[in-house]
Amino acid sequence: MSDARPLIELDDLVVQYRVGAGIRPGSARRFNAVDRVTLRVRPGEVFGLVGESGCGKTTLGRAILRIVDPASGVIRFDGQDITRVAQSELRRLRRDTQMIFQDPYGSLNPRMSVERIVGEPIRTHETTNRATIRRRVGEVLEAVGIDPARMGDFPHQFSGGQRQRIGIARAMAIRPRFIVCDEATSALDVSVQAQIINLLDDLRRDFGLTYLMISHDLGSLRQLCDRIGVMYLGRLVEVASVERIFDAPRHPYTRSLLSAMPIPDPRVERARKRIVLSGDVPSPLAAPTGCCFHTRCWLRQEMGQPEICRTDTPELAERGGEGRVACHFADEEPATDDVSAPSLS
Amino acid sequence: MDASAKSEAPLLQAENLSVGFRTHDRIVTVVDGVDFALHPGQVTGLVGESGSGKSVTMLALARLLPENGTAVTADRLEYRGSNILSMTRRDLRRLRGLEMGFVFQNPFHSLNPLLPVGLQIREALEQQTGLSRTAAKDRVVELLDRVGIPDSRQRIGDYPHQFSGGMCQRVMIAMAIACEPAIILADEPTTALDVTIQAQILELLASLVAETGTAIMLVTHDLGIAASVCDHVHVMYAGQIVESASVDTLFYDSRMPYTWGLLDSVPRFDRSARERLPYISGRPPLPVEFGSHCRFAPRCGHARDDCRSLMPLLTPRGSSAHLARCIGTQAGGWLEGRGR
Repeated sequence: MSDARPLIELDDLVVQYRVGAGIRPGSARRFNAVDRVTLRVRPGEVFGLVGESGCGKTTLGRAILRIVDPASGVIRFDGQDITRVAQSELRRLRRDTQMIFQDPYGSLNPRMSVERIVGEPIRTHETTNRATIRRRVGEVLEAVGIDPARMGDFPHQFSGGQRQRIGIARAMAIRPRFIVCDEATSALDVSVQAQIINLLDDLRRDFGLTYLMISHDLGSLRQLCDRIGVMYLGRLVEVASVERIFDAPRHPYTRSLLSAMPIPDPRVERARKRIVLSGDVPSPLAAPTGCCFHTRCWLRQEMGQPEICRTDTPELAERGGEGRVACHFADEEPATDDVSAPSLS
Repeated sequence: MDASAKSEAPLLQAENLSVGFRTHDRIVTVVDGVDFALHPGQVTGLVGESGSGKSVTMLALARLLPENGTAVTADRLEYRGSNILSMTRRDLRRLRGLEMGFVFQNPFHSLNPLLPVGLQIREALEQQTGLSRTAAKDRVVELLDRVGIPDSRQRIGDYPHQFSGGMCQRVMIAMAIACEPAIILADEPTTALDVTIQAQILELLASLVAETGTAIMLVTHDLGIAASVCDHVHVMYAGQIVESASVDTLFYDSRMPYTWGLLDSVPRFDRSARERLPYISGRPPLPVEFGSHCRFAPRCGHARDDCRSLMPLLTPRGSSAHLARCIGTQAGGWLEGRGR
């Protein structure tokens, strides 16, 4: 698998948003929601993107699907440059790439029957033959664990977990090769979440899918992903295999993110040392110079505030270890006290 | 009340607390006979999935549910010995203002967007404590400092939209602790926040308990949060408490198949992925589907005929502090002695 041509290739991808576009010309300001991201995703791989709200993970997912337009950089899908393809070609691209959304309530049209919701992509992309659509909808509902006899029902007649299955069925209906799952399990209750995680895993295996999993839930990501990318203020700050990210994280932001996430195990919790970051994520409009994390970095503080973090942007590179990390001082051991600020218990 | 009695007696006690919502043709019971007590210096967790009745329980004990359309009943619902159910509007205002503090899930929805945050905190202070305006102002600055808002004196004139989500939640907590309440009721206080901010807020709540001995009732769906901050946990399912135990007992010696299922189905990032994630089949019942038998039985892999016809009672397992609602794990049952 590792020798295969990547399904997704991103080179120095930048997506810009404008804010404050008022009546006065020139009043708009731009910022990089996604900032020079370079990434390869192999066919059949599940790549996880993690980060806090506003870090650009959803924007990155949307850029790959060409829902938002990149400002610069290159996006290739299966070897083809899709950075600037025309609308007509985008339609073909949509056959191969689909999306599953977080909110199973907001993402299904309440006035459409399940048959219409799931059948719509088939009608758009493949055939308008009603009997064929009906048969295909039945098949895909079966695959996601919804009784095909209920295809005449409407979204409100289903529970949250079932609605998420319907959203998955819609994405699966035209047999895409690549699916962006944007917080697809986050809105669900624990007991239902596990069912959906298993379903996504099964579908990937049975249909040879490639996923980009966007989530802030580290547990779901560990269960589903092969590799993880950590984002902060639009930049990828670390990329590594799922085992490396969770068992031996290298970037100080990754380390604080992991340490902040509570574990459902009281003894483990009491024994943990928590790195509590001070302050909030800076506004992307006033992104820090140098390393984007330096204003909140506990490691920099511990090392006596080296200037390089403020002046030089660390590139995402291997830096003598596995995976890639964007930190001048990756792999520095944290001191035993001080940084690991007060624990919770 | 003398000091020794105070440390023994619970601050708040509920026995057989039930809540019904009136629909067009009947009353639907959403909280069904819940018992619990809140003690000073303790964090009590109310854990459950959406629709289990945990938030409604919290609102009911402060009588914050609309009187029109809801029926709250209890054999006992007392704050320091006085009956909350028979309190007048004035008593309730005092109770909610002085004795209880509230923190809700979405700080933006809980703050008035048209008023500066300092004024919103001061309002409660002046009304409840009769502090003078200048004294109240100083107290607001002190409170904002306490909850970790930088440059507090400059920020009291700022409006909610000028604060981030984490900072707004700190403002809410400042408001909740303004009158030094004996109890803080927190409903999913960190669910809308990012994990690194969540860690800050949980740490703040824990330090308040340690410093002031306030009691916290924490409603959450997140077992990780329960494990990290709670002393005692009640697990709710379909309107009932189905297990109640100290946090360690709950996580390591649970006697309720529902709790086993919950704990097993959470994927953990600190452990390697499992081949397949165990899960609880089906979904929780809706209030109109609550039966007079074990409500978890339809989803329980251990259920027998009795479970589908009898309502199990919440009975002790080993110690009086550990209760479970399961026929299988009670004395003489087929799961007796079995933990997770």
